[in-house]
Amino acid sequence: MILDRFEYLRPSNVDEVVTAITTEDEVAIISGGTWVVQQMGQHLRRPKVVVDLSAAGLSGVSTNQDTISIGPSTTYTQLLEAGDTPPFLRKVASGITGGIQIRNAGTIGGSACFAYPPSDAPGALVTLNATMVLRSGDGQRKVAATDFFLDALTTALRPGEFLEEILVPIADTERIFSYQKFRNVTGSTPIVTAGCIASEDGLAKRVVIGGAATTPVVVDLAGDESEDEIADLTRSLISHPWSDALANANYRRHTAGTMATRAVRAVREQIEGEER
Amino acid sequence: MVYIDDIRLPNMHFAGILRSPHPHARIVSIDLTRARRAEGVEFALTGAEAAEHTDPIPHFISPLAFGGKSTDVRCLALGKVVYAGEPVAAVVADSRQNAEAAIELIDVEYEPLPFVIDGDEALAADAPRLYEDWDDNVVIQIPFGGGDPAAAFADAEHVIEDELQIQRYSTQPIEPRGYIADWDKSARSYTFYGASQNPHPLKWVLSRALRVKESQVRVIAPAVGGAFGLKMHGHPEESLVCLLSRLSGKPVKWIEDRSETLLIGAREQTHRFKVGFNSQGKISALKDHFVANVGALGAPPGWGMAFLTGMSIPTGYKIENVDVLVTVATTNKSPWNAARGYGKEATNLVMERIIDLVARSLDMDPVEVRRRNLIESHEFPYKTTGGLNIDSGDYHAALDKAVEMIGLDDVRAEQMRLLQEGRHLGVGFAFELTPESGDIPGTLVGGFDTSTVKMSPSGEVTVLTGVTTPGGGNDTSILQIVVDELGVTMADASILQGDTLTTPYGFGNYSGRSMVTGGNAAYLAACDIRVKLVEVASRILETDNTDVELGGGFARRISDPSRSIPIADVAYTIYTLAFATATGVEPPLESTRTYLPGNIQQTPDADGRINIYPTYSNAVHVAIVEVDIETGKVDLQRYGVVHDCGTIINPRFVEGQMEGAIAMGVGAALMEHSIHDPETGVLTTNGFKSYLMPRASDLPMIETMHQVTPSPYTALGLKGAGEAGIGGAQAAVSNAVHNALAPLDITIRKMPLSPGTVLHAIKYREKELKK
Repeated sequence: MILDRFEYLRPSNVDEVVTAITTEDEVAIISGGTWVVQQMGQHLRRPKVVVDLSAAGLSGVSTNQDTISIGPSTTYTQLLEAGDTPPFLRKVASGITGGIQIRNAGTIGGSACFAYPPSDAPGALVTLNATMVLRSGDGQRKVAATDFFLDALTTALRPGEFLEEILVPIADTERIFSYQKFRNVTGSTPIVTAGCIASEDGLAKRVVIGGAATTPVVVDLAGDESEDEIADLTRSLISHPWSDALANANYRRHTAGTMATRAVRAVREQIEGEER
Repeated sequence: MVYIDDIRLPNMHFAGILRSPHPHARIVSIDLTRARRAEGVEFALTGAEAAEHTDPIPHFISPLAFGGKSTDVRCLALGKVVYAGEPVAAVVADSRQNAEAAIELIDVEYEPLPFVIDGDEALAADAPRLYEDWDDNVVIQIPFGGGDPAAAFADAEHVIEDELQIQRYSTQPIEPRGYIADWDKSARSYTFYGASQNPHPLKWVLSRALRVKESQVRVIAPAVGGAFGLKMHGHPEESLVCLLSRLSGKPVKWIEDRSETLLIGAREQTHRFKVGFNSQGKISALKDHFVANVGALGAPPGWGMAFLTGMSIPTGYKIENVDVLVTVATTNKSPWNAARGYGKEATNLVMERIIDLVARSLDMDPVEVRRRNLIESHEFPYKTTGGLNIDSGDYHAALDKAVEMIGLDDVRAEQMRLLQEGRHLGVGFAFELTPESGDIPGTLVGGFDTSTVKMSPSGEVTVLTGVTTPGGGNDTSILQIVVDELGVTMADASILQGDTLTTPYGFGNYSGRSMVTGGNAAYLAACDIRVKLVEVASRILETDNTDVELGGGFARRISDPSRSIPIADVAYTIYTLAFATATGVEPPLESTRTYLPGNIQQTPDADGRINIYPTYSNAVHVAIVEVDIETGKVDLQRYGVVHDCGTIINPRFVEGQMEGAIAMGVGAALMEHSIHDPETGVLTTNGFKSYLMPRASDLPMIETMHQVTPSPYTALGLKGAGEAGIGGAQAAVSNAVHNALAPLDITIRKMPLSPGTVLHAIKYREKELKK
C-alpha cells in the first residue's frame, strides 16, 4: 500500500512535462507505472511528485526517412498493433512477461528508463542501435542506447530530464534477426536475452545480451566464429554479472553463451535459407 | 459470495502489524510514543502489554502430546524474536494506510543474536538455540517401522544409499488470510470473521488465548478463496486482532499482504535413505532418517506434517523391514503451517525416487519394479509397518491403465529417436498413496463430523454442517447427496457452513475429509427424513411404504407412477396433520447425525501402532518431459493420471481437485522455492516475481482417468480426494527428468529441479566423466 501523499501531475505536452519535472522535490516519472507504482506500494520509493506521461503525446510509432521514431510511452500492445514497429521489436513485445495487463500498461520507454537488467527493453534497444532522445529545460540531447544504460537501475538521464523519443535506424530493421529469450517459466522475468540482427554484409556480427549483466553486453564478432567460440567470447564479456533469486551469476553467464550461440545460429540458418 | 475483505462493519478500523527484521534478537525496548501520535491512530500495543491480557495460543497439535518439546507462542513477541517476520507490536488506525504508516513510527531497539536457518546446522551441539529452556533445537524425534531392518540389509543382494533434499515451499491461495474482530462491550463477546478452515476449534483456541469462555466467541468463516492448510489456525494475528478490538473499542480488520502469506513455510526436509533389494527388484529393507526444518515452532499444525511423512512410509509397497526416524528441527525461519498433502506428499516423492533408483541400478523397467513391490488387490486391508491400515485398491490395474493411457511403447520409441538427435525426452511414473480424513488422538483434529438436514413445511431443504469449504465444491457435493436421498431438486436446497452459532460442532476442512465425514453425516441425516417422508407419502398414496419412491420433487407409487404427490405437500402434511395423517411420525423434519468412519484405531496395538486414517486414495501419475541439456530447462509435455478415490459424488470437483494438486506438484517439482538469505536470515522470495508458480501455459492438458474401488469403511464407499496429486506429480516429473538424463547417469539430490539446479548437475557430471 502506498503510504505517503504525493502530488500527481499528468502533463498534456512536452513543455508541461519539462515544467512538471523541474523541481527540487523527489520526482517519479511514470508511463505505464508497472514498475514504479509497485515499488511505491512496497515503500521502496517515496516520491513527493509523480509525473504521469501517459497523456503527454509520447506514444506511437512512425517512420521518417531513415529512422523509425518510437514514442517512449508506447505500450507493448501498441507496438504489436502499430504497422511501423520494427519486426524485431514486435517479436520482443509479443513475449513480455506478465500477460495482457502488463502488455496493455507497460511501455518500452518506461522499461528502458527503469533499466532493470533482466527486462527485455534495454537489450532490445541496444540490439536495434537505438538512439535515446533526452529532453530537459536546457533542450534536447541524443545518447546512443549503448551509452544510456550505465548500471543496474541507472541510466544517463539527469535530474530534470526525461526520455522524449526513441530513434531506430531503419536499415537495421529490415534485416534478418533473431531474438532468443530464456526464462525459467512463464511467470519468470527473463534470465537472459540475446538479440542478433544480421549486418549489412549479411553476417551475424553483433549479438546483444540482456539479463546476464547489470547492463546490456555487446558481443562483436567477425562473423565466421564457431559456436563454441561465440559462447566462450560471450561468457568472457560478462564482467558485471547480475544475480537474483531466479538465477545466480554463474548460471546467467553460462546461459548468455548458450543464447548468443542460438541467436547467431538462427540468423545464420535464415541467411543460408535465403541464399538457397 | 462474500469474502473476508468484502465485509465492512460500521466504524471499522484497521490493524497494522510491525514485524521483526531480525531472525533472532532480544527486544531491548519498544517505544510507541510517535506511533500513538500519528494521524488516525486510535491505539497501539506492545508484546509485553498484550501478554497482560492474553495467554499463549494453544497449539493445534502440541508436540508434548507425542513426547516432544513445546514453547509458548504469543500473539506478539515477548522478550525476544525467533524469526524475521514475527509480530512485535501493533496499531489500530482509521484506515489501512494510516495503520501501515504508523507502524513505521514504532521505535524498537533490538539486540541481534546469532541465528541458524539450516536444519542440519541447527542440530549441531554449538548451534544457536531458539528456546533457552530447551537443551537443543529438536522439537521431537519419532521412530516408525518394524521387522528386522538390520538383518534384512545384511541379507540384501543390493543396497543403495542416497539423499534427497526437499525445498521449503508453501501454498498460495488467491485470497490471502484476513480477519475482522468485533468486541461487543455490553454483551462481552467477540464476533470473529475469519478466512478460516476450522471455525469451531478456532473458537476454542481464541477463548483460551483471550481468557474468555467459548460462549463469548462466535466465529464466522465467510467464503474462502482457497485454503490448502494455510488457513488452519494458530496464527498470531487471529487472537491479536481480537485483542486489538477489545482494547481499542473498535471493530478491527486485518488483511494479509502477499509478502506475509509467503512467510508461512512448509515441507523442508532432508531425507537420507538406504534400500535393500534383490536382483528381481523386490525390496526387502528400507531405512530413512530424515530431518524436517520446521522453522520457529508456531501454534498452527505445521510441524505435524513431518510426523505423517514418517508414518506414511513405505506408502503402498510391501516392505516388511523398515527403519524410519523423524527428527523435527526448529530454526530461525518463520513457522510452518499445514500445506496440502500434509507431509504425505514428501513420503510419495521419496518412495517414488527410491523405486526409480532401484530400477536404474538393476537396469529394470521402473514400472516393473513397482509391479513387483506394490500391495496386491487381494491383500487388503493391509497393515503397514507404520501402522496404517490400507483399506482397498487395485494398484496394479491402475498402473496398467497409466501405461496404456500414455502409450508407453510409443513414448520409449520416440525417446530413442530423439536421443539420436541429441534431444533428451524422459518419461516418469509415480504411484501415490494418500491417507486421508485423519484423526489425531488428543487433538481437535477429529476424524468424524456432524451434519443437520432440515425440511421446512414448504419442502425447502437446509443442510448445516461442521465441515467448511475452501472453495473446492464440497458444499455442492454434500447437497447432491442430500437432494438425491430426499428426491428434491438442487433449487430447493441450500447449505450453511462456517458459522459457529448456527452449524453443528465440527472440525472444518482438512485431510480430504469433507465428503467422507460431513457428506456421509448429511447422508445419514437425510435418510432419517426420507423415512418419515416415505411413511407419510405411503399413507397419502394409499399404498405400502415399500411401494414409494422419491424423485424430481415428487413422491410416487412405484407400482403406479401416475399416483404421485409433491414432496412439499408431504412435508406440509407432517407439520400440519401430526395428529391425523402423520400420526406417529415425529416432527419436525430435522435430523442431526454424526459420521464416524471405520478403520480409525486410536488405541495402540501390541507394536504401539495407531491408525489415524480411515481412507487411502491412490493414483498413478505419468509425466513426459524434455530436458534442454544446454540450459537445464524442463519442458513438461504430457501428463496423465489414473486416480482412485472410491465412490465419486461429483466427477467435476474430483477432477478439479486433482488438476489443482498436480499443478501444485509440478510447481513443487520445478520452481516453487522459499529462499532465505544465509547472511541475513530474511526471506528473499517475498513476491510472485521471485516465488515462481506455474501458470496455465506451463502445464499441458492433464489427462485424467478414474478407477473406482469403494472404501469398505465409509458409508458411501467414499475416500478423500482433496490432498492427492502433489507428491505424485512431484515424483512423476522428477522421475521423468531423471529418465531424460539417464544417458548421462545423473542423480539430482536437491529439489526443485530449476534450470540452474539441473544444469549444475549436468555440468558436474560432465566434469566427473572427463576425469
